[in-house]
Amino acid sequence: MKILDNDQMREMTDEETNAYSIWLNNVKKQLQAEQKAIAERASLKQATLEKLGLTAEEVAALLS
Amino acid sequence: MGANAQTSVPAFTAGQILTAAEMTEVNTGIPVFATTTTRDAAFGGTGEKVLAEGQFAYIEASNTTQYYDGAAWQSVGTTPGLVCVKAETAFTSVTSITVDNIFTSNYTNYRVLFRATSSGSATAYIKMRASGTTSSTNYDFQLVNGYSSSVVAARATGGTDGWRLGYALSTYCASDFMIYGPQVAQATQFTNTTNVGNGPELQVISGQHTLTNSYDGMEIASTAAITGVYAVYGYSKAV
Repeated sequence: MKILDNDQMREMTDEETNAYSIWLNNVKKQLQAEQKAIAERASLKQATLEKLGLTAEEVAALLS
Repeated sequence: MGANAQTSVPAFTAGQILTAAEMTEVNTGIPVFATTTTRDAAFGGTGEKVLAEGQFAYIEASNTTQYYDGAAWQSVGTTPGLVCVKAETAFTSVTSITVDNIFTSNYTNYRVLFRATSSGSATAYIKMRASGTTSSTNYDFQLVNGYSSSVVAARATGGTDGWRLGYALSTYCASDFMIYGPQVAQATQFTNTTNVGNGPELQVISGQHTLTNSYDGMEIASTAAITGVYAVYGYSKAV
């Protein structure tokens, strides 16, 4: 993997590659949790709209 | 020291016959000095002018023209409010960008403009650096995402990821990222407005790095290889 290190393009060292792998693993977990929360929120929103029998635009107009 | 530079500003006396060199020096116009140190040493000595209000000088080291207001030297012209401290730098297919010695006591607050694309799906983050070492803990941020009529919020605290910078896809993401007080030994804050790649999709993000350290640089780390440009600007502290 390449790194632009203070304007010098080079390959990552083994230490940098290991640190990057750990970081990437943590980031992916956080992003997955974030996407899961977003999807759950979207499902809840849709279920609520269906319960109310309104469209999203009607709710937006109601709340404007 | 350039050809016009001088180390003394002479005070001529009545009846003194000037040499060709002295006349040539006079013909320079505003006296030229290599540095402010040589400027200060050029006045008040034996045979030298006494520094007085209205004296002009040119400093080679900073390429500035100055005038003495009777108490201190001032620069001619206005001080720019936004100063480029890291020229626009291109990167191609990298997963990490490091830049050191850009945050100094010259400025408190900085602006990072970032634009990138990715052949895959890349989320980019900023992390702070001091003396060439990246700080990898204590990053918090709050994010609000807007897509069509859907607005969603998310929050991360005590994280190791860094601060969310941008989300690059096959079309460019663009981020206007402010960093507040990175060089000061206090918690560092940020705000970011970014258009997600393949948008239009808006993310507005703010947060802080809670360690009270002084940082001189940053790392941009991405979950996939990115190509684009970035530049860093400092906000002037003086009028």
